[in-house]
This record gives sequence, C-alpha cells and structure tokens, in this order.
Amino acid sequence: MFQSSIMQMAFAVGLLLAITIPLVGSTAVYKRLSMTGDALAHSSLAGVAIGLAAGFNPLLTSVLVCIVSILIIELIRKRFSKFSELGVAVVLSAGIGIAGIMTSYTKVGNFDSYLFGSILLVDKLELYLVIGLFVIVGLFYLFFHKQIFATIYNEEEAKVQGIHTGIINFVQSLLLALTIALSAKTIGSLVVSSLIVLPIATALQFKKNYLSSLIIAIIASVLSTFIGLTGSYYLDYKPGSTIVVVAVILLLICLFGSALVSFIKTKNSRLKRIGK
Amino acid sequence: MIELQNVSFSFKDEKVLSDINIRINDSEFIGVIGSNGAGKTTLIRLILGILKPTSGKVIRTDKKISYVSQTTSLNDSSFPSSVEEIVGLGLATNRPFIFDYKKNKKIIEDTMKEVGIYDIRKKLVSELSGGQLQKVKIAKALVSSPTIFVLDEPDAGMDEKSHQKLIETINQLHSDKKMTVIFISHHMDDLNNADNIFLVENGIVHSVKEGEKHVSI
Repeated sequence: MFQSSIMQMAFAVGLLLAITIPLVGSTAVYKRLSMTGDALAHSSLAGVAIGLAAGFNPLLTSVLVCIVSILIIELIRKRFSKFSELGVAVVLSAGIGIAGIMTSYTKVGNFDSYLFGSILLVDKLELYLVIGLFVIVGLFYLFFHKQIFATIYNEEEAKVQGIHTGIINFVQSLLLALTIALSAKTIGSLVVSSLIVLPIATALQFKKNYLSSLIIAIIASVLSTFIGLTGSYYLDYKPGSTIVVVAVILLLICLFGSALVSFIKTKNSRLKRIGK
Repeated sequence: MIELQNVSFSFKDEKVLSDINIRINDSEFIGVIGSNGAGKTTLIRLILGILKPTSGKVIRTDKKISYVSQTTSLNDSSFPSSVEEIVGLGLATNRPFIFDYKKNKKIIEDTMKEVGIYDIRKKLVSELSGGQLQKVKIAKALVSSPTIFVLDEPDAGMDEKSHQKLIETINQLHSDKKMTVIFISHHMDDLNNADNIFLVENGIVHSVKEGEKHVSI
C-alpha cells in the first residue's frame, strides 16, 4: 500500500489533518459551537461547486468561501448575541443551497468525490497547503495555548487580564475555516465536521485535564484516520466515511469502557463500606 | 486609584447609569450593593474597562486588575480541566506562555498553597464543591498578584458555610495584601470591613458612609 506515491500522499495529508482537526475543533466544541464545523463544511461544498463550475481550482474557492462564511457567522454572532447559533444556521442553509444550484453546472462524479473524500484526488498542492496549515496551527497552539484556553474558559475574565480575546477568536475561526476547506478532498466535506466532534467526545470519556484531553483526542483522531484510510484502500470504501465509522466505533468502545470503570468503582466502594 | 467622572451609560437608548462620580483610593475595601438589575454589574464592567461609558471618563491609574465574575459559566461543570490548570490561566498574558513555564509553575503552586487548594490541585473542576470552585476562581484571580481585586457576587449559589469561609478569605486577603477590593454582594453583613459602600439604585450610585451602612435593599 505504501509503495504507491498516491497512498503516501494520502496518508501524509490525512495524518497531518488528523492532528490539526482536534486542535482547531476542540475550541468550537468547548464553546458549544460544534455546529460551526457543519456550517463551514457545507460552505466548503458550495466553494468546491463554484470552483468546479467556474473552472477554478475547487480547493482555493473552497478556502475562500469558508473564510467568508466564518466572517459572516462571527458578524451575526456579534449582531445578535442572544441568538449566536443563528449565524451557523444561516451559513449552513446558504452553503447547501448554493452547492445544490452550482452542481447543475458541474460533472456529477467530480463533485461526488468531495462529499466523502477521495484518496486519488489528493495532489501536491494540497499536500503543501496542509503542511503549511499544520505548521501554523501547531505553532499557534504551542505558543498561545494558555491564551486560547483562558478565552474558552471565561472570555470576560480573559479580556480583563489583558488578553486580546478578539484576535484569539478571529485566528481560531480562520484556522477552523481553512482546516475544513482543506479537508474536503481527503476526508470529505460531509464528514469532516464529525471528525471535529468525535475525537473530543472520545477524549472526554477519560475524564482527564485540558492538556491530556487534547492529546487523547489527537491520538483518537490519528488512529481513526490511519485505520480508516487503510480500510478504505483494501475494501475500496470511501475514505471519509470509513474514517468516521472507525471514529464512532472508537467512541463507542470508550463509552462502554468508561461506564464499566464507573460501575466497578461504585461496586468496590460499596463493598468497602459493607466490609467496614 | 480609580475615579469615575460624570460617567453615564446607556444601552439601546435606555439609561442604565447616570452621572456617576466616585473615587476609590488604593487599598480600600469597597462594597457594592443594590437590587437585581439596578446596574451593579454595569458599574463594575465600566470600572474594568469591559464597557465604555456613553459619556464621562473612567480613570484607572493601576493596570494590575483581576476579576472574579459571577458563577454562571457553563464550563465549570463540564470543562475538562484540573484545578492547577485553571489557576494557571490567571497568568496568561499576550506573551507566549512557554517562555515563562518554570517561573510560572512556582507562582501557581505558591498561590494554591496560600488559598488552601494545593491538595486538590490534580482534581478536575467538575468534581469540586461550590466552595472549592470559588477558591479556585479566587486563586486564578490572585495568581497574577493584582493590586485591584474585583468580585461580582462570587457567593452566588453557595451554602452558608462555604459563603462564610469565602468572606473570611476575602477579608484576610485584603488585610494581608493591602490590595484594593471591590466586592458586589447581596448581603450587607459581608461588607462589615468595607471602607465605603456604594448603593446602586435607579441608575444612581450613592455612597453609604460609615455608620449608615445598614440601608434596606
């Protein structure tokens, strides 16, 4: 499998994104804005459709549309602060609507491969863009993880401390938009938002602190992507769908394990009390 | 020193606070009282610089300010974070944290010992009682060694025993560290040590001097 340069490229892009997605996704999940990923994924589809219809590189139009979408979401969130999810709903609807109309002008096969990802579509441009994104996201989270964490935990207190919460929020949103747009080919626009939520949900079952939860989420994401891509190669399944199914299985295993550990702990403490 | 000169604040054409003139000197303990919706939090948010006055001027000569907001954060019950992680957040500035890691670790540990939460430093905040959580929030605010310490009803939702302990901690911190304390509370008894009490009523702030503290609210 790894002798093929196409597979080498697919794995490189997939695994870099598997590390990047939980980093940028955790912020959205902790802020109770998990649906932002969904809205951006639909926008990225609209971007892909526009690119395919107009004859531009769909990846670049997808990136552009995703950035515009996150700006609209933020604008609506600030304008209607009591209805912060309104922006997400508007962008999600607009994204799917525009994508639907634009597909009338594209070849069905081409567009279909962006819905669930396609290993064969990964090219060198995407690899370079994903490496660039990985480095930027990695450096941003390495140097500013405390500021990011403080802004998620309590934005008002962080602002009083002097942290530029507006800039932190803006950079995070921008990186989320870029990550989702760049995931369209490997993972697929329709399933990338699941990969934002599932590894975090898996990590939460371990009941660890912030840093450990983030590391567990990255491990879960890398594991799902590796098994998913391998499975999709041998079984000829769509890579995005296979990755997400593996991530769901991993979550179910951890949910079961967590419930089992709680049960054993409760039982042991009850036995101890009876013993005393 | 904090001074509000002819400060007014309106929200959507509705006047919340009008023509406020107050002065808070260094190391003073200031209580802020008033009924719900009277504008106490707005007054604090103006002092903190979160809100900008519609007219007038807020002068703050000291920038080292820490804030403990009301216990309404959803994150406390479900956020995957340990006590020491939350306390460490108080040291976050715009400078990349990685450069000060070792120095900060010592400061965080010392603050946790001072507030009495060192033994529970590895616990997740979701496992804490209301009283313990408040101590964590206070440690987070104190870890940066502020000279102005602002607390917005930090006792909300606490039982009486935890509430009493919290008041003792705040009074002790004020007398030990000589910091300016601004404390919003619903209970007049919490403010027995206050140098001055501001009563916020119908958008106006009255200064309640010594001997006149027992106003009805």
